[in-house]
Amino acid sequence: MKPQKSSKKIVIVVAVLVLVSSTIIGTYLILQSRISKANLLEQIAQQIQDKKIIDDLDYDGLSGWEESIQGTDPNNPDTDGDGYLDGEEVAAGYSPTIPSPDDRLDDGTVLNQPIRPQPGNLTQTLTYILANQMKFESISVTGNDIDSFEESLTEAMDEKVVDALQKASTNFIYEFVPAFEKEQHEFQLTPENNLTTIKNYSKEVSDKLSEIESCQDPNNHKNDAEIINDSIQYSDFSMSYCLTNSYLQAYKMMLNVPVPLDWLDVHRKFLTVYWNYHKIYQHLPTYTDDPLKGLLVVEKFKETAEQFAQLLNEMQNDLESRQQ
Amino acid sequence: MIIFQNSYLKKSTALILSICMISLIAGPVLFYPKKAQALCPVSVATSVPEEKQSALQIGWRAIQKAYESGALGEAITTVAELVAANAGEIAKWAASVLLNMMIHQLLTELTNDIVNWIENGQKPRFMTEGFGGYLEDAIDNVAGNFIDQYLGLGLLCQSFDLDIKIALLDVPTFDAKAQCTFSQMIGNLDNFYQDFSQGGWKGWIELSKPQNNFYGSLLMAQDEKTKVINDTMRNIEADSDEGWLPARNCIWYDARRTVVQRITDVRGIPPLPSACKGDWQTSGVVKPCALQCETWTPANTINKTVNKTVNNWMDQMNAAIAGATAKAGPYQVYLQAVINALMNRIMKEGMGLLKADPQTKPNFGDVGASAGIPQTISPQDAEQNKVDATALDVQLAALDNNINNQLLNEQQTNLAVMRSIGPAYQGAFPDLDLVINACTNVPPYASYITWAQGKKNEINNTIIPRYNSMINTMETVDIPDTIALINDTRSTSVLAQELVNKANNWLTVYQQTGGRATTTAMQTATTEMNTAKNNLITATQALITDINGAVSSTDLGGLTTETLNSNSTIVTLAQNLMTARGNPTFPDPGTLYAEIEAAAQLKADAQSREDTCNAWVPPITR
Repeated sequence: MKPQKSSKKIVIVVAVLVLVSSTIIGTYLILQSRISKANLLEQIAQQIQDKKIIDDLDYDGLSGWEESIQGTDPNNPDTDGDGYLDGEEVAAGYSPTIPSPDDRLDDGTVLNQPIRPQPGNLTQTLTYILANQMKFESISVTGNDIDSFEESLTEAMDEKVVDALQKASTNFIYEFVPAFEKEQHEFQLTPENNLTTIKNYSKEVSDKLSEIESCQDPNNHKNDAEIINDSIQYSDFSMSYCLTNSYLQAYKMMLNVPVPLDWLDVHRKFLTVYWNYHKIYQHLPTYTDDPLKGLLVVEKFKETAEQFAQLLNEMQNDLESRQQ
Repeated sequence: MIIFQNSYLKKSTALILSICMISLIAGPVLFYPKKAQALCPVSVATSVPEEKQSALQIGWRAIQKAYESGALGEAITTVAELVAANAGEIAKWAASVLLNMMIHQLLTELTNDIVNWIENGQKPRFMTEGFGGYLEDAIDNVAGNFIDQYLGLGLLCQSFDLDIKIALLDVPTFDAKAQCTFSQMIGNLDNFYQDFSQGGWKGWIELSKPQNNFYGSLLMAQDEKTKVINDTMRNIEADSDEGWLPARNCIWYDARRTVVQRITDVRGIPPLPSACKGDWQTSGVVKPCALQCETWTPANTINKTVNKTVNNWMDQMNAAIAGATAKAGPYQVYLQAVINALMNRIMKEGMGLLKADPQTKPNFGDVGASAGIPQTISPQDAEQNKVDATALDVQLAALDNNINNQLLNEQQTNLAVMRSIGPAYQGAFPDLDLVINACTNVPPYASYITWAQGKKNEINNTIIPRYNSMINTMETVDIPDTIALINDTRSTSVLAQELVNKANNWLTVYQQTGGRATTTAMQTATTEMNTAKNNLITATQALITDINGAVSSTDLGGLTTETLNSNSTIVTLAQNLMTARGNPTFPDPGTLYAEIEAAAQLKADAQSREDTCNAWVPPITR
C-alpha cells in the first residue's frame, strides 16, 4: 500500500511534539536551566505561600464561584469522594458530585478519550493533560524561517508543559503544607522567654520524642538518605512504612507542647520538617506507579534535609547568644 | 445422686465440663501469650554515630542537648549539614532514576494515546489551525534532524549502495545539520519497500521482526554488506585501506594467544608488527601471529545501543543514569525509541496506519522484545471479541444440532438397516436348501441346484462379508468420529463462552484499573483474553478441518462463516446417508432397502423353484 503523505506528516508532527515536550519536562526538572524560570517546586510553593490561589480554598482547581456553580464543597477538594479532585473532574468532563466510574457527563460519543488517570497519580495526570493539550488546544507559533519557527515551537511547548506540570502537581505539593498551617493552629506560648524556659521546653519535647519508635535495625542504622536510596534501589519500603508513622507521631506529640515565643519559629520549623518527612515516607513507595510523584518527593527530601540543617544551626546560634 | 436425676441439669453439667476440658487442652494454643514486640525508641540510639541516624533521631539528640547543656554542639550541626549534602547527592541520583521512569511511562502512554486517537480519524487541532504546509515543512526538517543526528550525515538521503560507502567514510558527527528531509528518507525507504529487487527490502523487514528494530537491522545489514565488499576488495587490492573501509579495532596475537599489539581506529589490514617478524627468543613472540578485528562502525555501535533501548528499559535507565556520554544525554534513548517505533510503524504499516486492523496494529511501545512495554487493547477490541465469540457460538450450536440430530441419526438408522441385510439373506437359506433337495434327480431343473448353491455361496462369501465390513466401518469409525465431532463442537462452544467471559472480565478490569495497561491486573486480563481467543481459533480450525478437510480462516469472523458452511457439509452428509439407505417401500436400485428387498425376492424365487421341482413328474418309460 502506498503511504499517504498527510497521515505520515501527522504522525511525525505528533512524535516531534511528544519528544519536545518530554525533553522539556526532563530538562526542566533535572537541569532547571533550560527555562529561565524559577524551580517548579519553588514556584508552586511560592504561590501557595503568597496565597495567590486565593479563591481556591481547597486547592482543587475550582475557584469559589466555580464551586458554587458546580454544587461542590469549597472546602473539600474531592466532594464526591471518588479520589478525583473536583477541578480535575470538571476539566475532564466528569461530574465532581457523582462518584466514579459512572460519572462521565457526555453521552459517550466522544471517541478515544485518553485513559482516565488513577486518582492521585501525577504521572498519569500529566500524560492526560498533555494528551488533551495536543489534541484540542492550538499552539501559537510564529517565525519567518525554520530556526525561529523551531524556537517559537519550543517556547510554546515550554509553556504548555509547565502549565501541565503545575496542574498535575499543585495539589500534591499542597500536601507538604503542614496541617498546623492549614488549620491555623494556635500554639500555646509560655509566659517566660529565657534560657531556662527554652530548656524546659526542650526537656518536654525530648521526653515526648524519646519513646517514639526509631524504626531502625539496631545492627544496621541508616540515615534518611540511605533509607531513601535503598527504597528506590531495592524497592525496600519496610522502613518507609514505619517512619511515616513515627514522624507523624513526633509531629503530633510536639504540636501542643507550650513553646516560648522566641522559639515559636524554631518550633514551627521543627514541625514542618517532621511533617515533610512524614509525607516523604508516606508517598515514597508509590514511585514505581507514579514516578513524577517520586520526583517531587525526592526534591522535597533534599529541600527538607537542607531546612533541617539550617534549623539546627539557627537553634545553635540562638542558644549560644543566650549563654553569652 | 439427686442432681443427676434431672436430665436438664445433667446436660448442663456435661456441657460445662466439656467446655472446661476443651479450655484446658486448647487454651494454651488459643491464648498463647504474644511475644512482646521490642520497639527501638529514638532515645536508644545514643551510641550510634549521628551520620547513621535519621532526622527523627538527630532532632531528638539536638533537643536533648539543648535541654541538658543549653547548646547543641558543633558535632550535631556539622552532621546535619553533612546529612543535607548527602541528601542532595541521593536526591540527584534518585531524580535521574525517577525522571527516566517518568519519561518512559509518559512517552509510551502519550504516544500510544495520540496515535490511537489519530488512527480513529481525529486530527490534532494544532495541525488544522493556520500553519498548513509551513508547519509540515518545518516539522519535516526537524524530524530529519532527529534522525540524522543519530544516524549520521545523510545516511538515508540517497540510494543505499552509494550511501553505505559515503556514510562509512566518517564516523558521523552528532551536531551536524540535516542533509535531507524526513520525507526524502521515507521516500527512499518506500522505494525499497515497494520493490523487492532493490535490496530485498521485505526480507530485511522480516529479519528485523525478532528484534523489531528497523535501524538495527538496516545498519547490521549494511555492516554485513560492507564486510562482503570488504572481503572482495581485499582480494583484489590488498592495500586498499583508504576511503570506504570501516573503522576497526584490531589485536595481533601470537601463537599462544598472547597480545602482541593493539591497534585502534584502523581501516583495512594493519601491518604485521615487527615483533612478529623477528626471532621469538629476542622478541618473546611465538610465530605465526594472527589478527582479530572488531568493527566499530556506527552500525555496531548504534545497533548495540538500540537493542539495549528496546530490550530492557531498566538498561536504558541505567545507561542514562550512568550519565552516559554528552552525546547520549538522559533522554536520547527515549527519543530514539520513539523515532524507532515511528519508523517501524511507517514502514510496516505503510501508512495503512489509519486503516489498519486494530488487532494487528503495533503500538509505539512495541519497540522490540521489550516485555515491560505492554500492548494496548481497546474496550472496542474486547467488545468485538464478545460479538465474534457469540456469533461463532450460534453457528457451533447449529452445527452440534445438525451433527447430532441429522448425521448421527442417519448413521445409526443406516447401521440398523445394514445389520438387517445379512439376516434377511440368511432367511432364504432354508428355501435354497429345499430347492436343492426338491430338484435333485429332477434333470430338467438340475440348473436350479447350481443356482441355489451359487446363491448360498454369494451370500456367505460376498454379501454378508460386504455388509459386515460396512457395519464394522460404521460402528468403529464413522459413528465414533461423529460422536468425537459432537464432543469437539461442544468443547469449542465452551471455549467460545470462555472468550465471552474473559472479554467481560477484561472490560471489568479495564473499568477498575482505569485501563492502565501497565497494571498487573490489566496485563493478566489481556493475556487471559488473548489466550481464550487463540484457543477458540485453534479449536475451531481443527473442527472445521475435521469436517471439511481444510480450513482457510485465521480470524473469528472468517471461522464463523466456515462453521456455517460446515453445517451444510453435515447436512449434505446426512442426506447422502438417507439416499444410500433408500425408500423402504419403493427402494431405488443400489440402496440398502433395495438389498433387503432383493433378499426377500431371493426367498420367493427359491420357493417358486422348489414348487417347480416338486411339481415335476418324471416321464413314463416305455
